[in-house]
Amino acid sequence: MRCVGCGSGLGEIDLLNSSCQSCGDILLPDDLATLRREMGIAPDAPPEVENPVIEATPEKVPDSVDCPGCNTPLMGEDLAQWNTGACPYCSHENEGAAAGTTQPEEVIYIPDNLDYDENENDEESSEDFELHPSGFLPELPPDGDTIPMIINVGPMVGQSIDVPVGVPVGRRGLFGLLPDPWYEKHLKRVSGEHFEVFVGENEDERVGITDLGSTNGTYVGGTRISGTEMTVVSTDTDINIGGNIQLCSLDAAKSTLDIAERLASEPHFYVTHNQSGIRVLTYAGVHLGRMTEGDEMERWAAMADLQLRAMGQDDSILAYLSRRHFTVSLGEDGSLSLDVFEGKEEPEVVDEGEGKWKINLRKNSFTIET
Amino acid sequence: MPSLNASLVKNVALSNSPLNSRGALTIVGDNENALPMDLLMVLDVSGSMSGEGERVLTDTVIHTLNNLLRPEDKIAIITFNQSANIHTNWTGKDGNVAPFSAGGGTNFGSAINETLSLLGAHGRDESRAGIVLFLSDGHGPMPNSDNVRAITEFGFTMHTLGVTSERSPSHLEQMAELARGFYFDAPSLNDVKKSFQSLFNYGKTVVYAAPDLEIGISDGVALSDLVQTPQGVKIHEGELGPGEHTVSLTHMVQDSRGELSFRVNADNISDGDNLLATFKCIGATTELRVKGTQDKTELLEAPQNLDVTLITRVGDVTTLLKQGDKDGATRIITQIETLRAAHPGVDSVTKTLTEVTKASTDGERLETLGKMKTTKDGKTELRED
Repeated sequence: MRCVGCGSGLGEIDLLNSSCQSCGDILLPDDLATLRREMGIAPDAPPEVENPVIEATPEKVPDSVDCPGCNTPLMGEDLAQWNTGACPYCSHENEGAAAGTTQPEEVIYIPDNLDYDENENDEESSEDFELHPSGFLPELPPDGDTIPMIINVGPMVGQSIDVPVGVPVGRRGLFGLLPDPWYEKHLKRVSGEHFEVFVGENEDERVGITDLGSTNGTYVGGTRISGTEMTVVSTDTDINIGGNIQLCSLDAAKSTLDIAERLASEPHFYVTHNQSGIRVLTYAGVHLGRMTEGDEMERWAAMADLQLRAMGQDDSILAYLSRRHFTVSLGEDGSLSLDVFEGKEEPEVVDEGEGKWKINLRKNSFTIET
Repeated sequence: MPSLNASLVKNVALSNSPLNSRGALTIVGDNENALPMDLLMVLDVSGSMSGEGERVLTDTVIHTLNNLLRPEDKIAIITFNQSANIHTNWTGKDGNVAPFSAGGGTNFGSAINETLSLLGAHGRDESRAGIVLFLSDGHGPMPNSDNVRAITEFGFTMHTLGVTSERSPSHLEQMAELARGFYFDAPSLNDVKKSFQSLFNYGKTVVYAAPDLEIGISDGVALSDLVQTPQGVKIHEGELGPGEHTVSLTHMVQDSRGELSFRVNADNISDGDNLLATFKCIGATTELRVKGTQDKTELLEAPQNLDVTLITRVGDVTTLLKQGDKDGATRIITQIETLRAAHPGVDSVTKTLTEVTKASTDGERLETLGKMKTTKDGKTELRED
């Protein structure tokens, strides 16, 4: 191993003094760990980080309706009276009671680590829609302009969806676009009216997005946007809706890609970063270090970092992966192949059978699925 | 009395061999009362400042007198072109300032000489914060470095302001560094007013005026590359060998921590305790010591002082940024990021340094560097003057 500062070879005395004895530059913990390995010295114990023990049990949110006449929250017997006729306090008549269409607010079980967004303003009836597995009523894209965006997370990763333009998009709208149950708990962090997408009148004009005062926020390129000003979104910019709904703006021309066709014809596999839940689709292989050869953050790592931060989880675990660490690919016979960069820590690979592997490396683990 | 702390990256080292390492000194003051300010403006009134430049100087100085100066503050003005003169001697906020008249060439040397002459007559008063504001377009020969450095001997630091769209920051930045000050970039007349305001607000937060740092170095030991961080102000050129030395630091401002990074070369580390250097500043003293040992287990298990690692790396980044090497700086910032899990100060320092690298011009980059500060709890941020 050579000193980054002066290029001279490093040895035991440099390791013992934690600094290059030629130029005096301090050796960082990563350098020291590498030097230890090269010299056959047991690695330094990593700092102990205690994971929080979450003991909270799901809290049931009781059914409630605010009376439109006196704004009193109606629960229990009051709600029963409202559902059968009128408000027990101001006698405001429930027009929907006779038709029997009044729906109590849905009961939502809040996962321990999620902030439920209760900004729900849905009024459509359920007649035209198939019930989503979650119990929410999905909202189909309205007739009108849409813009293609690619999904960057979850089972539908890589697929293109048509996001409505010029109208508020919220939880129900996204339920219609993301029918897989995997998205269910993440969509609970999306507000009833969460964001709105704008497109210039000319084709070459860029796309913009505005957050509509959502509880859990809209992030563009990792930065939370706010206010009424539109944020311009370039092609390939990552957009995060409320935590773990990751979209990517797409050039209109790219939307013609038939991803299903490609999936059918090319070998591919999925990689899930288990701590963040980020799941990416890859064809040739994927580098599971933090940085690309061009010294930019790897796409999956950027998504994982954003996800961990948005969900209030410890994002420092990614630092346990080196900048250039190892690549994963599948052989023609379907076997998993790992290529670890020189001097980097070897991850542990567990073959779970049926084309599924688990890769463990310190505080990070990945699941590989074909 | 302030709290001083000096440390090497590791407090143990291999004995019976030389040591080449890095260390850092931190100074946390106990006085949070801002000092009254003595503001000396040294204004370029050469031909390039004629017309609108004269008017903005007059307007800005009047604004300073009427709105910025506090009753306890004082101001004096020197104007210069090919020669320098005292335009307004020390006066308070009720003083009168005559209009400016621009014309002629530019002679930085005469401006500095006149500054030293006025400060010499004024004398050093550690109970007041001395600020020299040197305003010019920067197109003049570099003055004698020792003369510029001598400004700090009077408890003053000199800050430079590069004006006009044709400004040349190079000499102005060097002059500011020699006199422990910062460069302000002011391409437009509006920027000049903002910079005056910014510098004034900075001056109003000074709690220790250009404090002297006395360094006693043991035999067989040398310190070099003394850089005050996070602004990256070079405190001494070359190597300091055994003996007693005195250097000046920048002003210390409210809620900030002074930091100095340096290299240490020792000819030999003995078994047991080794005193490498002694630091004295504002009445407080600390010692830089290292324990020599042959016990490899002890050496391997000794923890690395990540404060020292961070301070020295920040010193490296800011030095590269001053030289305009953004790529080199970005590489070190990326290395610093690997310490995120281990040091709580890393996020703020990498965020601030990254902001500096985004500056679009040399002048803007140098100005942003000068606005960096470390708070007492170790966070790095930009001063909001």
